[in-house]
Amino acid sequence: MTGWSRFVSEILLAALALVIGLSLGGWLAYAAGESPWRVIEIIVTGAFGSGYDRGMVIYFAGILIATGLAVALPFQVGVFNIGGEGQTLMGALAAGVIGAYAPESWPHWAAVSAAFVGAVLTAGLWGSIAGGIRAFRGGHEVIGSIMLNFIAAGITGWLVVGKLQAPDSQNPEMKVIGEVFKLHRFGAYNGAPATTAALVALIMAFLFWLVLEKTPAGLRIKTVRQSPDAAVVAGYDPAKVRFWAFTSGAAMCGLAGAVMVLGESWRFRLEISDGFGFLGIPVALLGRGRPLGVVVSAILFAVLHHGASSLDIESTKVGRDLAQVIEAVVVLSVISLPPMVRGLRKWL
Amino acid sequence: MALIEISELFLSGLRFSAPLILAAMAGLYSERSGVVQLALEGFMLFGAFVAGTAAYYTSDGPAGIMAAVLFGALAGIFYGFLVIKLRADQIVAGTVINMLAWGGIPVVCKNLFDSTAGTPTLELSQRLPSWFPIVIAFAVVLITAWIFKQTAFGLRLSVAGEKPEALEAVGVNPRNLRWAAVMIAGALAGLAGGLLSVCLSAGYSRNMTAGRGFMALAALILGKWKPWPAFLGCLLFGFCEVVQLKAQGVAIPFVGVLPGQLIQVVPYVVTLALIAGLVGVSRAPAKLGHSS
Amino acid sequence: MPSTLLNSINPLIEFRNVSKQFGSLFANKDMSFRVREGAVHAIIGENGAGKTTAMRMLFGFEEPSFGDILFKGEIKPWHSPRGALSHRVGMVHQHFMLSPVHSALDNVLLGREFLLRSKSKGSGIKLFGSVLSRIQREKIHAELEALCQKMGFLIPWHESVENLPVGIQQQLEIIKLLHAGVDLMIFDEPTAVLAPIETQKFIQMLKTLNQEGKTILIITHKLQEVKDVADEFTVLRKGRVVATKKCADVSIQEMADLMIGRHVSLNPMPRVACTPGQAVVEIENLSITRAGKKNKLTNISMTVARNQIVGIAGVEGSGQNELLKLICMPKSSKPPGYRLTGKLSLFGKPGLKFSATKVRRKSIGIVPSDRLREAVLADESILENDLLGHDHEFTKGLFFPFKWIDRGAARERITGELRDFDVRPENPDHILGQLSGGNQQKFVMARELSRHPELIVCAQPTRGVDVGSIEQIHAEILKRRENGAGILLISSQLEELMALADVIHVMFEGRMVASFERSEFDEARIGVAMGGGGA
Repeated sequence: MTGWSRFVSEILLAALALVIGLSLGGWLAYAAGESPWRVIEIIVTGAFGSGYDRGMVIYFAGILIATGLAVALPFQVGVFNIGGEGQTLMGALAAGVIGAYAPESWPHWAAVSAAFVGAVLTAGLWGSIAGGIRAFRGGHEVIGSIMLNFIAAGITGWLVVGKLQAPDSQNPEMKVIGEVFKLHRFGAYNGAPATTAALVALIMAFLFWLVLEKTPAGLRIKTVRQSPDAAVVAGYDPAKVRFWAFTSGAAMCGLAGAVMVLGESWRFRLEISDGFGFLGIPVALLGRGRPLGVVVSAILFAVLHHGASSLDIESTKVGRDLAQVIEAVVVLSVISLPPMVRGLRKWL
Repeated sequence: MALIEISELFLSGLRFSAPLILAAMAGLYSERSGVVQLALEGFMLFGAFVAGTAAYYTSDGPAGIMAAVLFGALAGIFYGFLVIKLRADQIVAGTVINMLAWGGIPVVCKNLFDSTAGTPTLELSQRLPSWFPIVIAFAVVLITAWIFKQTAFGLRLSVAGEKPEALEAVGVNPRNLRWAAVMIAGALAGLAGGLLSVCLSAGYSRNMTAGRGFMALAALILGKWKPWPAFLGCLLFGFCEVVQLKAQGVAIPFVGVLPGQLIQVVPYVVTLALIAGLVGVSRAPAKLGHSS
Repeated sequence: MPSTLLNSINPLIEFRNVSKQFGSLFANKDMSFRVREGAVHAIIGENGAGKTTAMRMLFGFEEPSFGDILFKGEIKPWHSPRGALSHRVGMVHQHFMLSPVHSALDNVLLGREFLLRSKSKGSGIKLFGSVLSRIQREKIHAELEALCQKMGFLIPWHESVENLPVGIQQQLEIIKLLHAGVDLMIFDEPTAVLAPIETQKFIQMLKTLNQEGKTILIITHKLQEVKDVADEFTVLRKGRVVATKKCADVSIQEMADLMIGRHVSLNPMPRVACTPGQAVVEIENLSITRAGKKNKLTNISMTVARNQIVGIAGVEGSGQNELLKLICMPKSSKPPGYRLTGKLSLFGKPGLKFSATKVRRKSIGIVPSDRLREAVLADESILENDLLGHDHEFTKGLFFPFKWIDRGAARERITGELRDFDVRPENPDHILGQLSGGNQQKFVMARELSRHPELIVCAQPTRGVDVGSIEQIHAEILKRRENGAGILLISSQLEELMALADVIHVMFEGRMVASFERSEFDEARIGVAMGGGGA
């Protein structure tokens, strides 16, 4: 297949998966006694109805772009990053610690940059454990990542209830970060945490694309994905390429964690990652692992996620969990349609 | 601590471990045949929900359990369809099943019972005694160990996960064995979930498995994919879980107060060290994950 | 073996005009030959001659596209390995079908876990019946031990297969077939993995089996063995049967001639006499060994000098791959568990520590044997493929992550490259997979040779290439030789080596068994060396 026709078929697959997901969601709503059209209406108004809502969508989109990239980049070399939750937690932890305990005298940009860098490095480091196990010891990165998710939850849970608990609060959370660390919120969104962080995420997606297309690293990634044997003959080391791809992906989750702490809750709290690390997986799969796809996919999922929260309020028959079912069916379609189509072709 | 407290702790640990053990055995069948089993969490949740619902409607605990086993087997077949027939990526497919459980169950639950929090509380008469899971778990481990050691089915299944060519050379189809394996896995994990909701609790409550499916997988790996060692791995997880609940705030001589969350993660750290090759050799079935 | 059998002419097996087609390719064409009952019949030929495909059809893995295979005078009734077994036909494959982690006993009884010798008909039962059937380990063990006594085997039944030496593993495969009661046994390159001592034992065992009345079919390329053990043989070349003869009537030299065939040389290429210059590659007494397993390489010594083409002849699997890896990626050339002794120097420096990346940065061009898997990315454009292994030439920028590849510069360079090597179409954006085999190979040559490297390593440079492109590629190789490059040429095409090389080393079983200077080139003698004769 030429590059162009491949591109088109990928978009078709994603669109079809989305349609199937939404249709099934609609059907479920109908079975539950709620009109599918009403459901769509609620979701759309829930996502775009007010300035606040639009701001929330921007906020979520930024996070999902980050966690989506975190899955998409390792995916490029055939490695699956399921450790988004743990990596996001660790990144958020770093941001929260830096934000709460670093001197207040820093200028805003330096403070925020320090927090972001800290978060990205920590998350990357956390991910490099699983990445290293896979690349250099041959252990499966999925099991390793799942273990690390639990361990991260344990460590952060311990810290936030013990040593680092906020002195003025009964909740499992850390001290509030300093004023200089708080991200500035765009006024147009009525207090929603829509910040420049979303732009940063977009830039990251662009950089991701740039690396793949233009740099030697991108060439190595492409070669390892298409033919590890050819990579070896060309003098590239597949193990190293996999390791760095995985670690860089994990670092993206650090970005998401930092956004959560600096942009929204202004402190690190228990379970701050809230499933967003994991949501990166459907986002990346729907986006077919490409940077542009991840961005579009992240926006779609952000709309779905925020819009669906209105379902709890506006409908008595369906709740926000419907969104999760839709997400699940989307992923299901993405993985089952290609083999089905192939099977159909053989049959014809 | 007094003897009473220790034995109480011991039993409590066993009770916690029982569903884990069943789930680990479920994973054992599947992974030994070469199919990765990341969907244990989803199977267990489905089992728990179906059992809670069926027990409520039929006012009969055992009926709920049987429904859970059946549904689990069906879910296993569905998973088999995805990975054996369609040859989809096994890890993503397992994740899909989990996502379907996390999202789909509350939707159905709300529809049936008007609440996503869980199924209606079961009366004591509708439930089963809490020692029941322990006995079943033990029995299943015994049977599983026997199957793998002494029966043709067990031998062939384990060869399917190591060198399927050897089976083809003697005219046995490895795919059929894998279908059987995932069906059994689904059924056992469904059973685990069912026991969780009907014996160890008073019904299904939202997200009640809380990661037990992954714990079972870790225990399986700790146990190097063998029945009795996996059983011990589950006990380890069980006891860490129970001890950390009890140990909160209690000082141990020389060490001070042990943070509960850190005790909880000990088995995970050990598993991680194991797959990194730091503590002994972990040898997964050769074809694990590559059987698509 | 009893000479009375020589007079009976019952063919147990007959191939009648059998052809096998894969897509548009014929693996076997119009084969006809007979195997006498009670004989030891060898199938000889080079790699790619179609031997394994023929046996796979016999055993039931594949069906002939045309023609018939007859068993005892009737068209063979089975269409699967299981069916073959039920008609007492068994095959020992080149790569054993044993599960490494299971015990020897479990491996042998797999599939027939409760079928005792007396109930040997039928070879297994359906899925659901097997679930709760207890394996009759003790009974079967006893029967197997009895068989072992008869054959002179000593098998530690409860040991895991992976801990057993290869010779014993092979015995397991054989015992398995004997327990199932086979009369015809097919062996695919049985001594390929055996050390010399094990090979002797194997030959003895074959004779014993034959004396018991078993018919033996053995695929091999080792001519001495054929002489030692077989009664008759069939030669395959390029998928066709060349001849079927009795071993007693034919010498090893004649066997080699039949196997390799005499060719009229291709138009002799214009050749300039060159004195070899400085050595680019020096290998001294290099061995890759492991206790208890067959050596990968034994005592290799050779040099490649500038202005010289060194040819490596040999049937595939004789150690050429290991040699290639040794030079191109010395650090990773040694498989885990093996020891490497000896010296290697590349470009005058000790080379054993060089990584693949480091070697690539040197003045080297590498043309690997498996083009589509190892040299190119079929789904990418020619331009992209041109960067593989050479992107460091076009990379600008100081350090990561601010480096980028200047594809514009690459594009400028590539048009000249493509023209010089006559790659068609000359469009850098064309997808490489859509080029013909000949053009693909010319492209790989262009990529690797156009930088005028001092050392060129190429394996099977004209495989899958049309005749016109072959001549172009050969001309380029000769040109480089004149211009000062040292070339290591690995090829299974003897005529190619004889046309191009200054010196030919013949490899067999990981050893260099013969060397010929250009003045001594003699197709017949080289052929014999390739078959292991005259070692």
